[in-house]
Amino acid sequence: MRFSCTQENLVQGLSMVSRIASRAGNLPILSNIYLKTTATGLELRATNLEIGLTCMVRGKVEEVGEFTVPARLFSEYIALLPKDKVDLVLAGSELQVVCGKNKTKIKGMPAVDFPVIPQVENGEGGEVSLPALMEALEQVLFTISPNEGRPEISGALIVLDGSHLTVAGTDSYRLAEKALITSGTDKSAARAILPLRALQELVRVCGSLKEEAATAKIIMSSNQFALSVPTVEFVSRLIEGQYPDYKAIIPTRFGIKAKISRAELASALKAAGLFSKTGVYDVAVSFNPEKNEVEIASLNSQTGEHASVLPAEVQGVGTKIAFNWKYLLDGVQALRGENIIIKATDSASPTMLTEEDGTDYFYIVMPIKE
Amino acid sequence: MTSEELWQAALGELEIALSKANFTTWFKNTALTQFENDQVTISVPNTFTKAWFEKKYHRAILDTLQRIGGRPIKTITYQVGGRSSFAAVPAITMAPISAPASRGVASTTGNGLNPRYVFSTFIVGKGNELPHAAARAVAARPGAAYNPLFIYGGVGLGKTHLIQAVGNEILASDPTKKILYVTCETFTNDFIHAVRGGNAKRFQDTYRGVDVLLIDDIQFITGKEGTQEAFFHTFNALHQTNKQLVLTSDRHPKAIPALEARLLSRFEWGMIADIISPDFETRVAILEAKCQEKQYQLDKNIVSYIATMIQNNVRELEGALNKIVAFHQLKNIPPTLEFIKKMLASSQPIRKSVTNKQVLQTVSLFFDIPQEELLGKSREKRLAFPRQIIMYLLRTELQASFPAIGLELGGRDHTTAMHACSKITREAEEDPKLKQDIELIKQRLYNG
Repeated sequence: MRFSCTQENLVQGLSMVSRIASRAGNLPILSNIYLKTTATGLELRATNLEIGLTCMVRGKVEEVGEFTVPARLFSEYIALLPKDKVDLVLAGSELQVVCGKNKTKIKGMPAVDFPVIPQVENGEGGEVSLPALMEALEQVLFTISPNEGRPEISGALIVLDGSHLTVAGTDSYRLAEKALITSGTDKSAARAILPLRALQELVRVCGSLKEEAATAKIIMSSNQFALSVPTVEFVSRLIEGQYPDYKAIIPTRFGIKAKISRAELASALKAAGLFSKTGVYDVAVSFNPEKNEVEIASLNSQTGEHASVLPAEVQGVGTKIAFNWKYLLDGVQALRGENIIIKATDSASPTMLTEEDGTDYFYIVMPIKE
Repeated sequence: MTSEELWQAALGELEIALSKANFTTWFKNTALTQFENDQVTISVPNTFTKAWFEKKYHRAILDTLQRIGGRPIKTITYQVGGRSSFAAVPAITMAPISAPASRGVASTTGNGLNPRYVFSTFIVGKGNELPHAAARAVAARPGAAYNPLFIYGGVGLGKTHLIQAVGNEILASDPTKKILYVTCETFTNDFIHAVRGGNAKRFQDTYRGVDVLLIDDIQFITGKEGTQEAFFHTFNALHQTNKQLVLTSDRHPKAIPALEARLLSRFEWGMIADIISPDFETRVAILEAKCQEKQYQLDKNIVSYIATMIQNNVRELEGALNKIVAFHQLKNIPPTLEFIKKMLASSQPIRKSVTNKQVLQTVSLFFDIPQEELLGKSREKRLAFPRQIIMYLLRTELQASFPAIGLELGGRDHTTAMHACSKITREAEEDPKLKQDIELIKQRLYNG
């Protein structure tokens, strides 16, 4: 193996794959990065046997070959090198790295023992805009928490239905759903539950790919999910099982509806949050249709109390509902636009947050029962 | 040979051939699902394993299966998962967040009480009648009925439940009462902080300003002289002003080693009540109550089977039930008696093997008598009795021979050992106190 490229190119590739390589695991080779030179460049691979990431680095190939080196050591070292040409040469069981006046030999392991990253077989898919996918994942991700008792909701549901891609997540206290447009054909249909860890990595990968490509290809099969652009391929296993029928719990009728400034509500919630009870995080939200006002108030016997009144367009039956302010704020921040719509009924029913002009995203949060 | 046995045999061979890391990474959660004629299907947990088996281990698996199965195999198919396809769609409900539950153990008023522990959820049986009645009386007339109330008993029998129920009950009838529930550890830490930070005043205010002081696991005070003194003064201050104290411990105050005499006499001042393991009927009642709480239906046979198998610990009882419920909900398979037998068998801890020396040590610690004296010549009653218990335990727990027991205890005659064993066996049947002591020693012997 003999390969030359710029330090920047190599750093970019390594920054993407090195996080996938697991540090603690049974199999030592999983903490390594796999390097392979082909006719088109250097291929980097890393996997933790749940997620696999393959990334091509542009450069000049003089001799094909393959090898693995410790991910952390290699990526940290390459990042320290000057912005110059980097030469990688395999010599026995060591990888020689030459860059300017720096010369290093890194000990590694033979490539034959590095696991295969499986290809998705019999999958359905479509093209999707990368920034839109990243936004959708971020708008849903925060509602998901690791849940050993209910593995099926410790990931996001991704549904491909014709030309629509829907991402949904819940932790049974809140729920978010975002719809996207894909280039899938009318016939394409697939469902997958993507694990939380894979979602987090996927957001990161989307972030670093944004400058390289505008769209990405998504493929889903019964047990795998893949996202690819010409230079990078991300593969993840799926959570086995059926995602619960969450549509059944989305309420259709509400007792009260308020249109309110998103920025004002966010800062009022943060202020009230400072005076919420430790461990309960409760703030009381009062809807007042007569005065067209929404009041956000909190009380903590140790630190003090707070109330702010916000102007709003309120219709329906006035009511007062307690919320976990963090849960409510998460939704307010995930929404887009200047104003948002809050629809609620009482402290036993779900409250829904939507955008004023947009129907592709909603967030549902459960109140705190007094 | 069933396909399961065949696969186990193959795994056995492969385990030797491969490195441990490789074996555990790749062969965990695999199974032989089909073996007909020359077709084999192996289920694997994910596509990574499938791809790796196809590339790397196919030859080894094929060879091993052919050799063990004794017939040629043409194809091996690796299948990912396989059980998800027919599982029902699980339901999801979104319930409002209930405020007290999200508070955790420490509630907002900082009294340390967990609102879950109340009298109404405490199942009364033969083993805990007395402490329950005493706790109720204390809750009804704090400071007047029994002061202090001292509850002791083994692990997982409900001491914490009772002591907290006293606090919750008093609080329910009079919310203005100041109640403080702490563990002995918290008390010790607070005291140490007070000493180090020089704010002894605040420590005094915290502990002497309450109406009811509940201290859990007071036996941990042993050996901490400073804390014992601080507790002594706190105790006096509260007791003199008729403030209620409730203490729990895993043993009788007399059996707490290195406890100052003035504290011991104070513990014995009010009421000492012990909780012993629930009898069969109570265990069944507990399980039924828990089922009702969880709104879960469980077959009568299963309930009584669990109650027969788990005898000494309510917490374990609840744990077994939780496991069954979780399993049912996750896998969607209603539990059968067969399944539960298997589950309980696998979860029963293997009894630690103990040695003669450990028996000697545990009993010596329990009665706070040096080992040399126990092994010595003296036949004083205070020595003879623990010595007899050692002999009894060596016989019943270690199946030692009588001459061996005699030898172990300073070269005594085998007839002495025989007499001791029959005497303790007889007395334990008549004296619940002795029975409880033996149980406690055994508990410490195996859990310590």
